Amino acid sequence: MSPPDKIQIEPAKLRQIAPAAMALRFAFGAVVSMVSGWVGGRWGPLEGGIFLAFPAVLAATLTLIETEERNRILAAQDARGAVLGAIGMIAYALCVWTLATRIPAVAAMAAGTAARAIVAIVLYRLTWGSGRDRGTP
Amino acid sequence: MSEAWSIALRGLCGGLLVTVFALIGEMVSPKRFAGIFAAGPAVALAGMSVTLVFMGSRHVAQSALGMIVGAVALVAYCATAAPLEERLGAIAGSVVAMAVWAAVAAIGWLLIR
Repeated sequence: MSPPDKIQIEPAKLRQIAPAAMALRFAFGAVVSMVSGWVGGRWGPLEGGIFLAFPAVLAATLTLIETEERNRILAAQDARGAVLGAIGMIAYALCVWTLATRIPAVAAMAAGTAARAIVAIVLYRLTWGSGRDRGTP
Repeated sequence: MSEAWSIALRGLCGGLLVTVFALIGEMVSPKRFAGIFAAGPAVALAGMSVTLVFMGSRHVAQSALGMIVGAVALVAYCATAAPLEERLGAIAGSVVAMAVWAAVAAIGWLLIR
């Protein structure tokens, strides 16, 4: 198995971000969080919890990618990576569900965050570790 | 503190955490790896933190059970969004995929309620 595309962190890219794009993401995140809280208060935490995984933020990101970069392929690439992130979200929720009443809930959430990251990164390695799709962004 | 304050606090925390995850995603390449951050648990972390402060850990656990259903629906969303983005474009593709999310979440909710 050849190594996957090199993962890079480029802080310089932050200078290219339009403030309006970040404001839009902030707004999406705020609205989804408030809707989840409102649903939870109205119908119960189970129903509110469903909206904790509402894809509005992702939809905003994908839309912005296409608007900013005018590139459907990049948006689709982002969505494929998001599948792995979403599977990681299941791991996060499972961790918190099983641990929150057994250990301090803050520790359960920290464990869930770690589990999500591990699951997503392992799946990324397994999916694209063979070097397929090289040359794509 | 009133429910209105609790919801406002959720909004503020959710917006801030989503922005942080988005900034991380912008810095990272390749794009498909950055996509992992697009489906980050920012809203969940914010929402559950506020739930913990106001309602306690039992409510957090119940929220997490609901979130399992939402996250399964999110996988369906992401899986359908990728081909739909290429075929229909980001906006139309996301709208159709959103309907998929709603359908899967509704079925899951019927199973666990």
